[in-house]
Amino acid sequence: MSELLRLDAISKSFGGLHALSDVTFNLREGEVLALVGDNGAGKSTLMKIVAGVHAPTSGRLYFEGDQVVLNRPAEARVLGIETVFQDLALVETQDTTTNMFLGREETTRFGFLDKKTMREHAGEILARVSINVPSPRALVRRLSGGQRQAVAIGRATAFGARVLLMDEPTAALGVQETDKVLEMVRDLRRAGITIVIVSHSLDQVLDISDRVAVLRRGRLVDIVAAEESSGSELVGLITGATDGKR
Amino acid sequence: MPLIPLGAESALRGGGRLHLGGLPPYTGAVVGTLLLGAYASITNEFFLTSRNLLTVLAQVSIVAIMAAGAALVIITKGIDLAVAAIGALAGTLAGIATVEWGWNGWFAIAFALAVGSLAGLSQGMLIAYGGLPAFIVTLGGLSAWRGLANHLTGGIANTGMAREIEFIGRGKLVGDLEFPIVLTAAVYAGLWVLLNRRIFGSHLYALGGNESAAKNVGVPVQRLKTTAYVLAGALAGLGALIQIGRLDSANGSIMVGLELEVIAAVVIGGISLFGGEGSILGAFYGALFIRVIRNWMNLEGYSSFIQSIVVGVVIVSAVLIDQLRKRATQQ
Repeated sequence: MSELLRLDAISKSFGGLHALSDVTFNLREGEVLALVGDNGAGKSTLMKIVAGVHAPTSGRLYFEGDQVVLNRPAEARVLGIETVFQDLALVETQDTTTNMFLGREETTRFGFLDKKTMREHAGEILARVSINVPSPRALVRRLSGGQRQAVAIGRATAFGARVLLMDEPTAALGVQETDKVLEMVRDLRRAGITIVIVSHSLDQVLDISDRVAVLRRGRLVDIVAAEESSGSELVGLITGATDGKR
Repeated sequence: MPLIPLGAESALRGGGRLHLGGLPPYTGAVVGTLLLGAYASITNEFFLTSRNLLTVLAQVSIVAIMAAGAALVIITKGIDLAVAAIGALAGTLAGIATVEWGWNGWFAIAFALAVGSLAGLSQGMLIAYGGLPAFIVTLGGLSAWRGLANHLTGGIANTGMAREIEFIGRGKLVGDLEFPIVLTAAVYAGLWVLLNRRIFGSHLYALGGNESAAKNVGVPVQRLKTTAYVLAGALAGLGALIQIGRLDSANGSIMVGLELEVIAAVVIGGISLFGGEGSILGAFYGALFIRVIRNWMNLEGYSSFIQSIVVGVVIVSAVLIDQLRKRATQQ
């Protein structure tokens, strides 16, 4: 698998706090990479740097071999790097269609919203996800947690995404909806989308990812192949009971 | 281009005919107006006369036009307590411009609208870029703009407005149809298109519903917020022009306390004070309901004190019903 994204010596400080120190790794095209670590290990900060929310204090980011500087989420999105935030960033008072097209509305020649086209596209996108969302006109406020996740993932992947960053996509879900969201992740992988997923559930991580990157106190301690690893190995790396190879 | 091929047969396509939000949020105001209107038509011989109805509509127009601006602000999850004070300042200056400075009526009208817009701009900038709470900024505005208006005239009214201003207030277009009614229809038609058919509206609702999510997808949050206050200021100026045109007089104490009726109209019309929700038409229906209540009570001889009590009860009931409706649709 070829390298899609490379992080080179990325560090990030907030005031005197070193959230990330000298993190270097690459993301291979088409893989599912899980990010694990204790609270405050730097997982979210790392995601936000790749998503364009935070700029690194030092270090470089390469996309397909070219150095890139991401100052805003919109700049990451241009490269096809999409994010599903933990809070999903949906507008609950609006319907699913409006949410999916927010910021990239389809318009007619005179700048009027092309609601019909957007609704049709939203319906088509939602029809492909394994969670049934009632209607492109349904208010997000009326949707279940899994359905909202489906809308957020649908939105993130409908416009030519190449990398999907997912922050704790199943944290707020029940068992059944968690299974469905994981099914969506597998579908996306099959469709060729590269995925970075933050999760606290090590079973889940070992189940769906190809590689697992372990962060501890802002440092990348190891990246292991999920197939060859185990829950106890990951726990050891996360807590520091075992030293990583990096 | 979508990575996953489009075109899969969608079980959802064509579905969703049923609007899940249920009835529009201004249903209460419309039903209330119709019920009271029907009752008043039967029990009071003056209510259902074209003369009375046209008077009501002309009165509605001032509140409705100002409420349209306030609604834009409230949709962004803001509040504008200063609309009446801004209107007073704009109206006062239009009066001074025509009477004292001898300006042409059209210039005076443009001046009033510009003053309203600038007052709104200053408030909007402090709120959107300065990060100050809208309640505080516009509470300050309520006091300051009104004070400035009174100071400029020394509390004395300018009487004898220009012909053009008089036309805005009570000019007749066809038969007894007064210009303010046409103006109200035009303002609402324009804003409805802006809010429902343009990206501006989509983004305004989104920012009111979830500001950080809107910001995330590149919605120019600060610019849109500021725009809402500018439009509210301009529409306050327009409302004031109708008022001084009808009175043929302008001074710093016009429309005192009207901000409360304006905000009440927005709320009764089902536009949520929590932002991101409601139809602009609700502001009109809310203004209409309040004015029909007051008109009927006037005809029946109830004092304005009793009227205030009734309007107060209607405001609280409207919000209560809205909350119950929302709770019912949530799960």
